[in-house]
Amino acid sequence: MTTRPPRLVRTLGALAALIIATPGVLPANTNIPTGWITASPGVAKVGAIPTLKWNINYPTEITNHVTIVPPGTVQPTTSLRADIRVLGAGVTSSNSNGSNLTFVHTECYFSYNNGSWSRIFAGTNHDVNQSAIVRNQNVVANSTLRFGGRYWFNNQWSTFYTSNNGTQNVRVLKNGDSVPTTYNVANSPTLEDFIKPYLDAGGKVRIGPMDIIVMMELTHTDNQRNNEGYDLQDMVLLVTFKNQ
Amino acid sequence: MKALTLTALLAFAALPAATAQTASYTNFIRQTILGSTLPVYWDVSVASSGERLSPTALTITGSRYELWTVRSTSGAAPTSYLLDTAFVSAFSPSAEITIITEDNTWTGPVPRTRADRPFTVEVQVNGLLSGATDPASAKSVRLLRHGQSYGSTNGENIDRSQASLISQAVISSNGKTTLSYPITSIPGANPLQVKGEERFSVFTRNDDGSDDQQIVSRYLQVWPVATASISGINPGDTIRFDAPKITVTVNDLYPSSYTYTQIYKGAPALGTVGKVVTSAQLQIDQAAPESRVWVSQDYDDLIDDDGQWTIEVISRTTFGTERLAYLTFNVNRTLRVNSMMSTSSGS
Repeated sequence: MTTRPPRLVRTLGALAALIIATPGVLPANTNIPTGWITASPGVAKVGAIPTLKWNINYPTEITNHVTIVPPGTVQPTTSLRADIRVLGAGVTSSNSNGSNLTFVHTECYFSYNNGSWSRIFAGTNHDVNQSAIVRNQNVVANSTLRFGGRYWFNNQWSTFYTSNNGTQNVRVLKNGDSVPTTYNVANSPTLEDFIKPYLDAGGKVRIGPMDIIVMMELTHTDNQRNNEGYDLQDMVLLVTFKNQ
Repeated sequence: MKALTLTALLAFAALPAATAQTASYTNFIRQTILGSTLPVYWDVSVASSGERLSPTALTITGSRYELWTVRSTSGAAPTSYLLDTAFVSAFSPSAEITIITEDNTWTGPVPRTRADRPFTVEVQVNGLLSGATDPASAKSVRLLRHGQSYGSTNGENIDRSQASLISQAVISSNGKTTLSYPITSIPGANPLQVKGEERFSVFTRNDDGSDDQQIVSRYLQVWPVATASISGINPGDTIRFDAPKITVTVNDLYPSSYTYTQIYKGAPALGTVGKVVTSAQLQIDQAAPESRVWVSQDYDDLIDDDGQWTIEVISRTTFGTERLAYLTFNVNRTLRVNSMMSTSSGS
């Protein structure tokens, strides 16, 4: 390789018209920009004008690809694949003095694009395997992803809270969001161990750029949001979006 | 036409993002018209993907096309990335490079692997001539291998002009050349802890004193082998009451991995399935590695017997399940009353 001589640069068009690109249509799965360019034909006569094709992938984040409709609905803006994992199921029962603390049977449900609810988890927190994908769903633009949960206690089911039942019991959060409790959940005595690795010290969600976390409060109502037990950790999901 | 230096162009390109809250990108394609006199550059702004005609027509010496993007972030200096190049001339061999790693679940645009894993590079070359009267530049191409450490970052601000040339070789026949590498050669004090990228590129071999031209290049991202440590309890310690808090530090978890801490009764034994310490685990599936610190005491709830116990950090990746750290300790919570009993009786 030889040292290049001084360069003469010519620009086409007004520089002010340079295109400011927003992150690409599809998730890039990259932490730095990547791209390719081709020129065809690769061998051409003098005077020919080759055709250029190119594509650039940008590092991206979830808000470029889905819309979070508060409190708990997700609407993709393009076709994606959603990998759903259960992080924990935190409903417990105990004696009045706090002894004999045990996890209770809890169920989690998923509805895609206004379809019927399908159960994606049933069991206690001891049955959770965070690495297991409990549902793999291809989704299209403008579809809806909704979530729901309930638990079994004293021989009856609790209220079945969902993303769209008019309450705030099912929340969808992204990286950097604060858990919407009335206190710093990270310092709460009710903080579930399974959620700790996904929060920072300030109580903000710490997950991947293409992840969302679904947090459910199944034992308290909206009117009890000031109660310490309203911690949104009764059922927690991690949803990772990728290209199909 | 107004002559601008590259620096000036990029600085201007960054202006529109000055008020942006998040990163924005400005893209352009640069056509370099090669020749024996000064090269001439044409820049044209482009969208993130598309198709268009070359800015100007070819000359006898050909043109190089470079795809650039410039990232602008509020409060930070713009960063320019040369993403790829293409070359067209009246004569040009063609080449394609395919990098094959063991991470076959990865769907990102750049293949990736881990610093301790092998990979293969396939170089397909076509269009080379072998006639006695053909110019030397038509008879071979040069394969270059570069490596570049990301340092303490994950490559976000990489300046690819600083990559180190690791090796080069001449390919003088058409067809596929397969190269196997046992591990990466990215520079670094500890080869298992390097993170960065390798670049394989095929260049022309010009014999007229002009620059060699890149025909194709491909990148490989390499991430470090994860490490972990457990502190707060020492190997061989005996727990008599509540277990102490432990700190589990995990570094450079592979971007798609499940890492967890588990505990089981007995001596350390690879493959043992224990009970997961729920506050010390992490599922990630992303483009860059993660490092975390977990402070945990809930493992105490999992200890249900006296004896020797092992706590270990396990990571599952596409390369397999591996133990990153472990230690053993003893539990002795049985209450023993040592007393001397005596009776006395009066006589």
